[in-house]
Amino acid sequence: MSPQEPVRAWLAAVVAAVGLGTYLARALPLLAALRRRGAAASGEGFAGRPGSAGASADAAGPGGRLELVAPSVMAALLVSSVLPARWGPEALAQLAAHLVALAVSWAVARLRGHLGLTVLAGMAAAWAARAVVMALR
Amino acid sequence: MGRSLPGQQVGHGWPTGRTDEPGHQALRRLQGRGLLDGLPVAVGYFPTAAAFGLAARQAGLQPVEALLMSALIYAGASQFALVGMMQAPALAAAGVALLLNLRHALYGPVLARHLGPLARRGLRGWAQAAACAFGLTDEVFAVASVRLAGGSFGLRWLAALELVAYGSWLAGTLAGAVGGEALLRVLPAAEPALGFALPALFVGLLVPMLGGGQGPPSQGHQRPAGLALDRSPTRAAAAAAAAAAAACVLVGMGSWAVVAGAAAGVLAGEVAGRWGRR
Repeated sequence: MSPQEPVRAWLAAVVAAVGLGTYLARALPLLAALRRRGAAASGEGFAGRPGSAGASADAAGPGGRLELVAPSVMAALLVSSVLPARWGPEALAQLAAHLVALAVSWAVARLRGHLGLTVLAGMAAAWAARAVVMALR
Repeated sequence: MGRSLPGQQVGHGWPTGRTDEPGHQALRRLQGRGLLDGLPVAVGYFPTAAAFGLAARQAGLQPVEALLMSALIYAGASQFALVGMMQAPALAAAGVALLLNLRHALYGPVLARHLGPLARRGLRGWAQAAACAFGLTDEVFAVASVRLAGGSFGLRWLAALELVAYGSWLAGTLAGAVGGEALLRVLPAAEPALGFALPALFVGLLVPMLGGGQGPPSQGHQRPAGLALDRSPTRAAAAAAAAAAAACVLVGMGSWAVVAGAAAGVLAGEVAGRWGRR
């Protein structure tokens, strides 16, 4: 392969394969779940409609576990995005700034309940905390 | 679940005659709301994607190759892994990248509960759902699982949300790959703030699920009804998921943090729920 070529064929093939696999991991469970719900709805009238008795029954049954997936994933994403992947003096400084920003954004989320404001407050706190930590070092 | 607000569409995003305004206006409003709700995700995506674009260039990829990765794969962890394994056998790199994305299989069934009526819309509904599945990233799922649980947002809202996030990912990749070293000189000053955009987004979404937050839905705060009613299992799930994810990161298995966290969280929530019913 010439380095001047804009896209190397083997790389394009790997990217296409990973892209297809990623898409299938996202799409197949969604479409399968929609199909199951469609089948259930055709047998139970409006069971598939949000707010219907069928949907409530779903939440109480196997779907009750699905209710737990979102907060679990969110908490895991939060922790893994705050903790440094590698430890060292720089990572500790970043962690300290992140913990301060975490406290600030948590407080804003509780007090104001506004997603955009929470993000902006967290970002501002992270910037300020990092500046303070760097000045103290 | 699924309470509709005055003048808004329910669940599936098509005009139903149940709103006080013409259907196309309601749909436009939903799309506009989706674009707006996508902004926090976009703010978090841009620097991450720029960092990827930069890493890809430093690993020897052409800008168009980096952009192709972001356009076709659209999964940060996998893309970074692929770039880091440029010298490894292609099959091994592809396998690792795919393994990292298996967690996305969890998201569809959760969102499908709120998109149920789509299944009755024939081929068009299936095609739209299949198209939306492409943009189902961690962060889009995080926002969608909260908003869709409110029952007032549908597929068009989700498509608009995904469009903003995808656009930001592509723009960030391009900026990082083309801007290169120049971006390095600009970003350090803003890096701490930009680096906390995604954690702050997760905080903003997690807190209402745990029963915190006082803002009304119109202020961008939508509490999922099912979760708000049953906080104890939810809190147990979140605590267990956080502990499991932290353990994974600390032992150097950060790529498994979300899967392990989800499994531990669901298990702990289930146990807490059963304990509470005794």
